[in-house]
Amino acid sequence: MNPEETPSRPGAVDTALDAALRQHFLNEAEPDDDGFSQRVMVALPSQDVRRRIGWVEWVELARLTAVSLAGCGVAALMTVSDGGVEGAQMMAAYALIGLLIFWSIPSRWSRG
Amino acid sequence: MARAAAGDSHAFAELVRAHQGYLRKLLGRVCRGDQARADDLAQEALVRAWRALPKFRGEARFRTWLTRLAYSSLSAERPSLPPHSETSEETGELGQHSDFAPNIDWRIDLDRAMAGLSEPQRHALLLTYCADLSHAEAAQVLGWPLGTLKTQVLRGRMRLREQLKAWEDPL
Repeated sequence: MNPEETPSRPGAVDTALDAALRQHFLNEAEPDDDGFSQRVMVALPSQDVRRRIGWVEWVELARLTAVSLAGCGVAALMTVSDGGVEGAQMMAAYALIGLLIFWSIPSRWSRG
Repeated sequence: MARAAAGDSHAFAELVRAHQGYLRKLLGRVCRGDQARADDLAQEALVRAWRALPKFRGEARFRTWLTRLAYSSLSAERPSLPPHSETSEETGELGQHSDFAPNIDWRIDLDRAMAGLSEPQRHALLLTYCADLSHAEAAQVLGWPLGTLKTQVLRGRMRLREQLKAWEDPL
């Protein structure tokens, strides 16, 4: 990009600048690897850790699904039909509420 | 890619070797020449890529995805890019020729002009020119709307043009 070679029209200047920027940045030398890749490979977590992360995500998904289902169950049981809420229904509802609370609390088991 | 996603560390090592150069070059620029910090960020991004690779669906280029991981590490350090951190006035002596060949002079002036851009403009230009991403890919990396990215590129380029005016308009 010698000044003497530069075009005078604004559009052409933009194009020339665009090309010069692209050439400058793309032609710039990349740093040598110099053991960098090796250090990355050493820093990688093991396959077990990677698998465990996948397992934890599934457990979390299952927990959220269970909580949602329990919520729906409580809502269904508490719906008063013509005969009113019976004792068995109340017991089931309380059990589900208990499970809802239990599942909603993050625990070390559900975190894998 | 598929082998690396399935857990083949040799295949992943190939990916690392193929992409580390461009990523470290880009991050070196982003970190204003602090290559040690750039390498730390690059390493973090690659480790995160290894963890997340099974979920990579190939909807974006691997390079775009990796750059996005690196930028998310960067934004974890600095929660938000400043909207318009107006410039350290490092304009220097643009247009004054020294004993260097013109091409080298131009590069030095360009580096000075880049240092004087606002952070959004600098990131937009670096991703577009240094990482060779399309506008859409750069917008994706930065989490900006495409229009915002284009505006920042345009403003950054206009500013560079002003700073490098001596090189385009010889009197």
